[in-house]
Amino acid sequence: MRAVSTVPSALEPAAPQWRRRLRAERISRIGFAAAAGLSLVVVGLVILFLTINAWPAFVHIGLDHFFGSTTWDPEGANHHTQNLQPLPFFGSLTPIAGSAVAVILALVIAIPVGLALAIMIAETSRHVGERVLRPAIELFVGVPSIVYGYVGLVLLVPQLERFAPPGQSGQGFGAAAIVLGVMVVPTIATLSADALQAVPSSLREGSIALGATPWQTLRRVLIPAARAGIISGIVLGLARAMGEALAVALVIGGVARLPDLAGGLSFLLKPGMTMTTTITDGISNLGANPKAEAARYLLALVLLVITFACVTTVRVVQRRSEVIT
Amino acid sequence: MNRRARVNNALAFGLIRAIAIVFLLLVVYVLLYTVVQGWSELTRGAFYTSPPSTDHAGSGAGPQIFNTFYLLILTVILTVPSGLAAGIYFAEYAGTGRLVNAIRRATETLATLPSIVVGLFGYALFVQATGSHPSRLAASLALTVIALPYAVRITEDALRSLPTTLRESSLALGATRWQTITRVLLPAALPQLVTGVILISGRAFGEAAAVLFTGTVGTPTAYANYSLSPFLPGDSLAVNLYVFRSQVEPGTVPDAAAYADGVAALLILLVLVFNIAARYAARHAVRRLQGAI
Repeated sequence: MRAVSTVPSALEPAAPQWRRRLRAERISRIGFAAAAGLSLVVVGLVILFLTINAWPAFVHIGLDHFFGSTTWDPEGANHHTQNLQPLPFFGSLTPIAGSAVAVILALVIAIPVGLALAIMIAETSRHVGERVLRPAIELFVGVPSIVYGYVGLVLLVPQLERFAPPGQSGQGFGAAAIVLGVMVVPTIATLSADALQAVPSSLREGSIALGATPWQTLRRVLIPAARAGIISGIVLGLARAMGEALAVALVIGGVARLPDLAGGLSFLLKPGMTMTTTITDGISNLGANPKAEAARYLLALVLLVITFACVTTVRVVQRRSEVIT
Repeated sequence: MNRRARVNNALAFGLIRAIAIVFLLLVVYVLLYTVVQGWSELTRGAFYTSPPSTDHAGSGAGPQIFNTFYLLILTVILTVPSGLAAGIYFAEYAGTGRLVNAIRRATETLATLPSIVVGLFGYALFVQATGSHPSRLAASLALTVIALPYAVRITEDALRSLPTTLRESSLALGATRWQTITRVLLPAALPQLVTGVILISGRAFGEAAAVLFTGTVGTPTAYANYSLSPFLPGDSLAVNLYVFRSQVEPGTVPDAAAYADGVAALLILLVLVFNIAARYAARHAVRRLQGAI
């Protein structure tokens, strides 16, 4: 009988029990919303704290030097003033170019492999794909990136050393690109496979019915239809490769030198640096060199901007595909 | 179909299959090789009890193993409530307003943010701005920043995948939304949420760059303690593998290479355990849902 009296009606005032529930309803809603807003607050804090700590770089180094010079020598170890004081340089073009080269090479490896895996999962061998390939790829994603870097260092680098010029250890852009490529394959493979599987089967059947081979169907119908998902996978893979730090730090050699693209493919076996490995180097002397630290925070800001760009690209690509279909 | 198209078809799919199979075999070989290399360390008792050493033989990863799980548990405790609540908001309440859109975008950004940036941010906020030193708490907070967007997405997906009838019948019976969420939806989604927590743990325990900046001061041997205080520094297995390999010259310690192999093998085996556990929980989830509905 009591249950009936808890139902509010326009005639009788709401029972206290019911009012309590309504208040709980409001409070819980606010609580859930506040938790959701936490992400926004954290992103705001990231922007704020990176900017505050990078501020000395804006003031004392200057953006024209930071983005205009290719000399990265934060301790002034190799450059001196006229009276032999160390003269530091904070040219970020070297780490930025290093990141760009390493990431592009990694994608050159990862895109064909990732697409091949996606096609096997989604099209040619669905049963094996779902039972073996997907679980295997999930396992590869879970393996800590530092393990890939370590394996690259102990297995891959000694192999590369045999081809390297005398005095080079085999560390360099080639090793970094291979390690990053292997790490990025699962991202591209899973997102592309999802996109291929989401293509309506009427498209597939229509193409086959018109006499196209499975390969023609894939190339002319399915891949264009799944374009948004495939591009998203590639962009997120790019972001992952760009942001990986320690695995790259182990295999790239950590030398402040531009990738020597003019000298043919030999740059693959020469050491270099990326934005993330440059930031990582700072761990050994935090607090000792304020200008260098500020420059590293500025590099982190650059990485944040690239992350924004990647997330926005994925959004735009997916919204466009929604409009079309 | 003409002959050329048929040949192209066979060639293309042959190539696709070859690329995929070579890649899979290569990665599986590399992972197996690493486990085999590290096996002798994994079967040595002292590996699990003694601390790492940079000047004499007999290194172990005892403190690192302890600390890895310490960070893992603290991170899960910090991540689950906020991630769950935010995921509930997105699945059950959120509209399509501008603010909601901005929050979604922020969550995506966090999920894509490089962990080294999170590490530097964590150092600036949790270590420097609070005037303290690197600690397990700071490391766990940084790991929470990394894990939070995954927790949000997993919760949202889990709730969205529930049949709408479940939600509607609960509301039709006069339950409030709060009651519907806590007594109907969350219990139904529990197995998927457990799977999600396991997968997030798998991510968090291998994350090294963020912990390097917030939990340690960059030397491989400084943290030989098993105390439970969250205010002490401590490095994880993944961080130790990096710091040890990048600081200890090969050959200076007789068993340095073997030790690092052991840590790498242990990390791979732990990933395997996490994945199998998550699969088991997921399968359990399917069975339970089919039984219940």
